[in-house]
Amino acid sequence: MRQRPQQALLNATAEVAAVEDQQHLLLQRLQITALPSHETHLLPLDAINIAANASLLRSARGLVKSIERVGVLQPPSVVCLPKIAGEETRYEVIAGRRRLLAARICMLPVLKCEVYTHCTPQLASFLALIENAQRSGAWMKEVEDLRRLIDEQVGMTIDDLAACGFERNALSERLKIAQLPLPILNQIVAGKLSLETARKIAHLRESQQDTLADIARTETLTLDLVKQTLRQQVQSGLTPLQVTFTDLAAAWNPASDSPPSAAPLPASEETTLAHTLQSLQALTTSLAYQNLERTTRLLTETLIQKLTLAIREQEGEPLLVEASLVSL
Amino acid sequence: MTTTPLWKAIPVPRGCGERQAGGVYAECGVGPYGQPLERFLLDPPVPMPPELDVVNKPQIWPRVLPSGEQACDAERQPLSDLLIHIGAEHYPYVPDYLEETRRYGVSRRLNPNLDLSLLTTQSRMLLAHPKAIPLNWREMRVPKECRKNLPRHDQRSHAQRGPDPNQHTDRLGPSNLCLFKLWELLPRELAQAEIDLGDELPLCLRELGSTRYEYCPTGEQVEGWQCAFVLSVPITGFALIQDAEGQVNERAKRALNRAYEERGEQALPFYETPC
Repeated sequence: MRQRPQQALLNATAEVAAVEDQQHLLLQRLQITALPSHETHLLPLDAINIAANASLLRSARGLVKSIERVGVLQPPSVVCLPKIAGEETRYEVIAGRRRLLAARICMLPVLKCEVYTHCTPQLASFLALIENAQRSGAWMKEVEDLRRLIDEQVGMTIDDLAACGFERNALSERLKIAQLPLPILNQIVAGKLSLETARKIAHLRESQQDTLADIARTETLTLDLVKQTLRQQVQSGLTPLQVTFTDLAAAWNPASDSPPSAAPLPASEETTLAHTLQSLQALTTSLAYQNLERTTRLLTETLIQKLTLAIREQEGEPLLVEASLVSL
Repeated sequence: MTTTPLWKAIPVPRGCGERQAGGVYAECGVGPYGQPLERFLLDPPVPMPPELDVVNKPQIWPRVLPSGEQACDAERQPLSDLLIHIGAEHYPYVPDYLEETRRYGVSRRLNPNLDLSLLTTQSRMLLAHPKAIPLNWREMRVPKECRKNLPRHDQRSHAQRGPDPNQHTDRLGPSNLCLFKLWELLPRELAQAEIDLGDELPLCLRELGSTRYEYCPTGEQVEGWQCAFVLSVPITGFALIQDAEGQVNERAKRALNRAYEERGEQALPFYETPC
């Protein structure tokens, strides 16, 4: 039944009252009496206090190229600090430290900022959270925009975009997602798939992506379904490997495959080998050995190991590692 | 209680250092009635599925037959294998790891939270290395020797077929990639010592952990690498490393004892050791 205008107004008033209660509670929690007003101003960067550490500075450098080309597209938020007599007004950052640091590196003299008249630490954190939340879906927008660039045949390469300051690895990942079949992409852009799910789909083979695309025409893809498909793909790659060593077991025939040197030696030659090994091992414990040049010592150690292996293969006896070898 | 493994890996300082107290190590030991390393090498290496991520994360995967069915043992229990990635930070090249394994067996640290009861005497440890397949192997010379004596893998085999192995047209194709080419591709500058053999390639000596081995580099340049499995060995048991008080990872120990109760003789043995 269609709602009559007066009834609609009454309902709207109730909803407004509910929202006002919620806001009042929020303000209490943030220890402010009212949300501060804010205006957009062009501020000198020198006037803004930016607390930064080495890691933030490194991160800010990643924005420099894009700022040099297209500027800062989203104004940082700052709060006006209490004015000290005789000094210029100063500001403190609420959100956007990376952008401000990057702008400073680019030696921009001024920057457009959202200036709040006052702020509390709680409100500052809250505003930063809101800003991040507003940006959390940014990856979907990036994917959508990348797809548009591809469809419009703009012809930019990853190198071109990296030169504008985009991080190459993240860009490659977004690009893979942007090239997914349209039914899947539509679900991504509509916010039905998480970034994790989109990443996993991007790792699937084309045939499996097509299968998922067919499903996506009629139902929303789930992470479980994607994981299952990915697992099947990995397993199909492992199966030949697992078959290979089964074949190894079946094909092993020492009589036909052994190299000639594996044939049993006459006892006298075995004795010679063992004697040679003992002599070399005795050499390594002598004082003279320590004075030999490094190449000779390394050659001796290598020869000891080779002889040990040869004797082991001949006799089928377990190798006993000499203490001197272990300590080298 | 399980039995003690018959064959154990040799506890020497390795390329990745010494075993850590409290650690759980899967082993393929050295012992009588064993086989040479070549028996277990995968030649050519088997490329790792790109979606599989085992770097620093050994994983247990069910064994699946080509038909798609799960492989089972005689008692219809599912079989699983252990997949391990050999890091290039401790073993920069495949021969570094394989030569150590040849001498001392396999000993790989595991996350004790893995369900070790899935591994049995029929399980295999599959080891992969990031530099297993040179991307430009087709442009390279055939290796001098394939120690698995596989046909058309080395110069000797090709020499039996014609005068010039490097111009043999049928050397192309994946089946001709030889694992033993990797020894020839070791950089010369990696050697700790070099012996000039006159007109022949120099004999280089390399030292890594407790391993000393020789190689003859050809100087061929590699344009990139692909990760692949190079070794498939049985698991002879687990080593639980004791701390200063003689204690081991009790959770792992309980899991292994439980596996023995469930699987009996199929369960893998383990032992406690100070190193």
